[in-house]
Amino acid sequence: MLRTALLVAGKDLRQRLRDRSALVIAFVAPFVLASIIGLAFGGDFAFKATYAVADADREPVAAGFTDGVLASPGLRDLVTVRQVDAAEARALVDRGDADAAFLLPAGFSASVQRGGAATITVLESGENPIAGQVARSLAEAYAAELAATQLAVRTALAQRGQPATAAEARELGERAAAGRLPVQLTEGQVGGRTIEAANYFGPSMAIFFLFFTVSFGARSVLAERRQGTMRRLLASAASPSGVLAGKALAAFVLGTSSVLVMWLATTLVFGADWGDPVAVVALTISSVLSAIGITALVVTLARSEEQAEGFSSLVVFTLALLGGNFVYLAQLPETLQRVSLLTPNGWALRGFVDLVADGGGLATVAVPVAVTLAVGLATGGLALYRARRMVAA
Amino acid sequence: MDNDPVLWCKDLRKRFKERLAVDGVGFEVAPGETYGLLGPNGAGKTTTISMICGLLRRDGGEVTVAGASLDRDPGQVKAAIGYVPQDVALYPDLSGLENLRFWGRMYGLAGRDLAERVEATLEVVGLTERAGDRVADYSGGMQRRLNIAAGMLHRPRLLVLDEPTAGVDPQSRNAILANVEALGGEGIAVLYTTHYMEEAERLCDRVGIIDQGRLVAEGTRRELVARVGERDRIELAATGDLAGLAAVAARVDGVDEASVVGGGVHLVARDGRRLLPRLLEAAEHSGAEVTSVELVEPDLEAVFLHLTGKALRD
Repeated sequence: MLRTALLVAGKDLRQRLRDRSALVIAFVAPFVLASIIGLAFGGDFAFKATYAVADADREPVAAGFTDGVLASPGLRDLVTVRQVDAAEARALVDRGDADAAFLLPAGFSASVQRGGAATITVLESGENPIAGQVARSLAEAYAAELAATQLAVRTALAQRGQPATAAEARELGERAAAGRLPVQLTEGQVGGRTIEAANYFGPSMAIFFLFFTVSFGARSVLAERRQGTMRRLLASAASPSGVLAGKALAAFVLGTSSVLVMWLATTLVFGADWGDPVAVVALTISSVLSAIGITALVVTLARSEEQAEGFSSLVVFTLALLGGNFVYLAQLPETLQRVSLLTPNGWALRGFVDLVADGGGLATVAVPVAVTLAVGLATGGLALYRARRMVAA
Repeated sequence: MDNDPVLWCKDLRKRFKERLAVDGVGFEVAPGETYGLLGPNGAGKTTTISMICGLLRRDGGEVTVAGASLDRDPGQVKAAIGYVPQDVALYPDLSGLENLRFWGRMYGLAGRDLAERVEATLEVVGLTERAGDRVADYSGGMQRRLNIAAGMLHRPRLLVLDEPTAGVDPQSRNAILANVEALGGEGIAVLYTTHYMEEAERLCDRVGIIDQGRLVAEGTRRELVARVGERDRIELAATGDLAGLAAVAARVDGVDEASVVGGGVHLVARDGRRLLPRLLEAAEHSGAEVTSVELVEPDLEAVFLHLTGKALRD
């Protein structure tokens, strides 16, 4: 069986290497597409924004927002703040020189101290919707914290029976500014580190094209049946298991090579860092196995090569869309991030991102490796069962 | 080298749902013998050889190849068989050389042995010059020849050819038939299926006639002809006393019928070829002068028609 598997694998690889379209899919397309998408995202995924702040109040509660929230450790490296008046803030946003503007009206602090309503107006440029969304979230979060703090302070003052002093008002602003912000930007996803485009879309495109690269292995079973070579193989004492093992081996070698070449290319050309090499190899192997298992199972459900190709494309694109191969997962709503974990693509990407972000080793990717491996073994086992019947038929 | 049959099969049976595709087929093929399975499309030829090659599970029957039982030692049986499928079964994106190397390795060949056999086989099928070209660039006839080459590369004890000339141009067909004829001289047993009567007559030492899954007759061409009682027809073109010629010819032992037809005499006889000298001698005393003789022997087509009531190409 081993000899059969090696001979069939060698023959399949020879056929693949002679097929220019296969080489493009395995080695060229992932790199080109990753480069294009990476450039489109401006080189990295670090959140950057310029905000104009028009503080007409200049009192402690307003300062709590400008000095406390916008200058907080989580934001100060990501946000450039320009203190201007309201007219200039509008002009900056209109010209696109600022992604958003916060307008804090005069009497803002006094109103808060009285327990009344206070308004922060947020102007968005529309050129950077994420920055605008973040600006809105920051203002809403600060307002929510103020409301909660107002309630606590009002309760305390009511017991004392006196109005708040200036020091107490300042404390009110500081306490609000110290409140936990709901917007964590990229920190929550990448362990506090920004992730460069090449580090994300390198693995991402490698995984996407990996499915196309390895699907030839399963489809070639149908091709061998069509061209009569399967009968000839089986007439030569080759067992169905040996033939299928050979095809899986060829797909594995080509798929693994495809990802590793992508790793090398993005490292050399873009200076990408995929993380710990041992962990990268482990994650690559488990991802390749899951891709082989899934594409093989899909192909065994088809009755012809054309049908198999159609099924494969449908499944591969669906998994890629859900798994986050085309968009940065951390920029998706949380629900979609959860959905991505229903796919092996999503788990593999999570593993690669964690490797970059956390700088860990095998332990960091243990779960993604385990999940993708389990998917590969489950779908591959089912595919093998069906393929043996298909080959022997 | 003993004379035990290379292939021995008995009572082969295969049913596909309601249809009994092969029903009790059995025969033997000796070393160096070419055995033809002759029958129309759908007669059960391919099903029979698929069972012999271990490609199809039998519902019943036994197969022994080169002394090994297909049930007990399928690997040894398969190693002793060279299988040439009905359609070209090669990798079109690989060269002829790469195809032969691959199939040779699948049959356990390696190293210098593999190289020598590939070279020799390419020579036999006349493809040495085109060995490096992709099979996809070969003509249909060249692909057929390479298809056969891949089956005989490992010098099998039994070569099974399933209608190898189907859809082939006359020139390539001749080349293929010449290759197969040469195999008998090398001691290889050949099992050849065809629905071309002329191929069976040219190549096969013995023929098994198969129809609707049953082997209805088996033997050499003459044996089959004799068995069904088909007779030769001798057409004598002559001048002079044609009635006298017919009367004289009718008295020759072995001639069953004689009649004047147009400008000659038509005879129906058994073993006409043997009778010809005596007939011509008798004609000298008939008052007629024989100007030409045509012997029309019954062929396997006639035998098949007699046995099954239908033509081979039906």
